[in-house]
Amino acid sequence: MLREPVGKQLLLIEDDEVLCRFLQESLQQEGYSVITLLEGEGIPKMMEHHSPRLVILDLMLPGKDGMYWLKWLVSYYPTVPVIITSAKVQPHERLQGLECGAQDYLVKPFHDRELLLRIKNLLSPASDNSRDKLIQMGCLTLDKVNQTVTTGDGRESLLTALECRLLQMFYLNAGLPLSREELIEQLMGIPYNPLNRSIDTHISRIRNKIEKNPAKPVYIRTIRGKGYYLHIPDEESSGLPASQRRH
Amino acid sequence: MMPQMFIVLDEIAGRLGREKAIEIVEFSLPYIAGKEQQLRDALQAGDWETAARHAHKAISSVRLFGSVKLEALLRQIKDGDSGLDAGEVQQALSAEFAQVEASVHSWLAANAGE
Repeated sequence: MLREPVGKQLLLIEDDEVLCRFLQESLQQEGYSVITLLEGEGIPKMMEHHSPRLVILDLMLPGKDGMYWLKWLVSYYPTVPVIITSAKVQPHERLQGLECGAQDYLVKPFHDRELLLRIKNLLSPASDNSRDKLIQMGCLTLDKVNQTVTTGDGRESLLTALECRLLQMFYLNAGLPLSREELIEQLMGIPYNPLNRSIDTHISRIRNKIEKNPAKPVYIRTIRGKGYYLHIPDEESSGLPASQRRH
Repeated sequence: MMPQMFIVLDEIAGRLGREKAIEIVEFSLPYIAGKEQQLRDALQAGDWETAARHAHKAISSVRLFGSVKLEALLRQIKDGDSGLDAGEVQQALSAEFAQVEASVHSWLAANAGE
């Protein structure tokens, strides 16, 4: 399936409908494709389906606030820059947002041209944070930007956005068991339903891409009745021939 | 206030195109009325905390219309300036909201027919 071009796709979360609509029009005028949300709860789904290049996030949102969603975005989409917009002007409030991983902070009310300039700066090639795009997990190399995984013997596979995030989540929690409930709620943003076994299907697909023998997985291991955990083997026990190990 | 608001709205029309600007301005009219109602209710109930929250949310969209006076008034409510009299604030707010709505309608009348 072809993915839509995501180069200029932005996600805007703003519960003020007028401002949201105005900013959407203004950014679209500049050639951006803008998806909007009036509350944060739809963020996981939008991130999964649209893979936006940048997120503009209001802090004061109904339900879970913007700070919660900022931390969520930084955890699961660390390469996607976030610009916070907020009427909170106190220095400690701005610092908190930046310390939590936001790339920029705009105090409301702001001019839409200012937002546009900040977006351009963050998406310019000079600010490309491609150095941080690779994650090494034993012999596996995960490319978060291009959404690929390469095994120690050089086999490269394309990942879906969800598979890529799933691997990142395992990496962030390496060695720790993750329940199906946690995986589904955090990655898909939907409440857990015991009948929903889709996470098992995704894990099975990832195993086919990263494991030498998916029936006897080395990396993503099952804990009966609990869920899964990521085991990062040292290179010797990963099954690589000595000539391909790094020294 | 009216010329200033016209300048701001014309500037938006210049960038987004007249049709889009009209669309957004028309879309915002019920929202302005709703914001005024929420603020009035909170002030009448003497609930400054709720009033401050509504003022906080309204500031950004009010900026779109270029009403400096209304923005300043909302900022005072948001910051909970001591010494504010709920009755006086309410009166001042109603007057400013009425001005904004009148200006918006005038701008629409001047532009929609073009």
